[in-house]
Amino acid sequence: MNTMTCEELADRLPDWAAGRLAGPEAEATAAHVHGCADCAAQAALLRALVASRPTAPAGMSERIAVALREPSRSAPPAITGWRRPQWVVSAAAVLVLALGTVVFRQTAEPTDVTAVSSALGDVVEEEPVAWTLDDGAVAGAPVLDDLSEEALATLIEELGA
Amino acid sequence: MDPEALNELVTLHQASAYRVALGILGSEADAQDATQDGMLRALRGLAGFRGDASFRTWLLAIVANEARSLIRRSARRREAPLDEDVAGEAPGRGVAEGVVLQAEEARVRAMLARLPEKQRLAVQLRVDEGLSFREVGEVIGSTEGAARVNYHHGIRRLREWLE
Repeated sequence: MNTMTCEELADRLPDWAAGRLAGPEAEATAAHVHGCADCAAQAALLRALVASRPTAPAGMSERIAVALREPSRSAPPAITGWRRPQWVVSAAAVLVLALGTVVFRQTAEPTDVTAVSSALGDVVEEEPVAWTLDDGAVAGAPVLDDLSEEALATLIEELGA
Repeated sequence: MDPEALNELVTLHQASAYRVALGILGSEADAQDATQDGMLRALRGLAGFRGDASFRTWLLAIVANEARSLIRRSARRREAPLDEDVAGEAPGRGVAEGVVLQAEEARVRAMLARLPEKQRLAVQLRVDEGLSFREVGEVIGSTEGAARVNYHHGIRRLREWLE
């Protein structure tokens, strides 16, 4: 006795047509299909689809495996650890602008940067050199970028004073 | 992750991933690109797999997104809707039965390619890959119910074209 309705069968028919059903479920489906022309036609369509499934191109898995071993092109290395807060970056930008303004208003007289060096703590430890504010304006950004938070705060405080 | 385990994942899922990409793009070359890029993206981002979907469903969704973004990037478009001449083509007469069968299967597959994308993917994922309707919905970005409706509409339309 075939009690399964066409609607009940429709959802599982793809699995039967692809050979993914087994046991009593497969037998009940087969019994219905053999006695129902409409479901048999649908099963024939599904079998044709299963039989014509495209296969992966030869060598694709090897290409993917090779690409997996290469460094990622799109994803940059993750940045870990402490990141400088946004206000520090903004303060550094203001400082650079301020230095630039001073440079335009002063003559380029040789200046001893010992005082600045001491304010920057261990970041600037090179021997005192004859240094002009022009030089500082050009080279200031990368140096500031390397400053510790404390050194930068001290510098900003002095600038304000 | 162990390179051998990664290779196994690639071998196991590459055909499904390729079929999904091909179903969206319609071009074998583009499908290969999308499959490779999607699988690399997925396998390099395994940490992002939360386990609330099957790995295969998660992977296929990523490949499908990669294929769609390839369409957006290159403005490539699939072929025009169903051409009545193609729909009405019959296998040639006088050839061996196996060849007739193959031609019929190829014709069915060609018609599948002409379904609207969601119907096409719903049929493909349900028939080719054996995904449940819930999983089909996860890949095509719809509910389980909508995936079921898309599947049945697609099958009905294919049958109409074949009659």
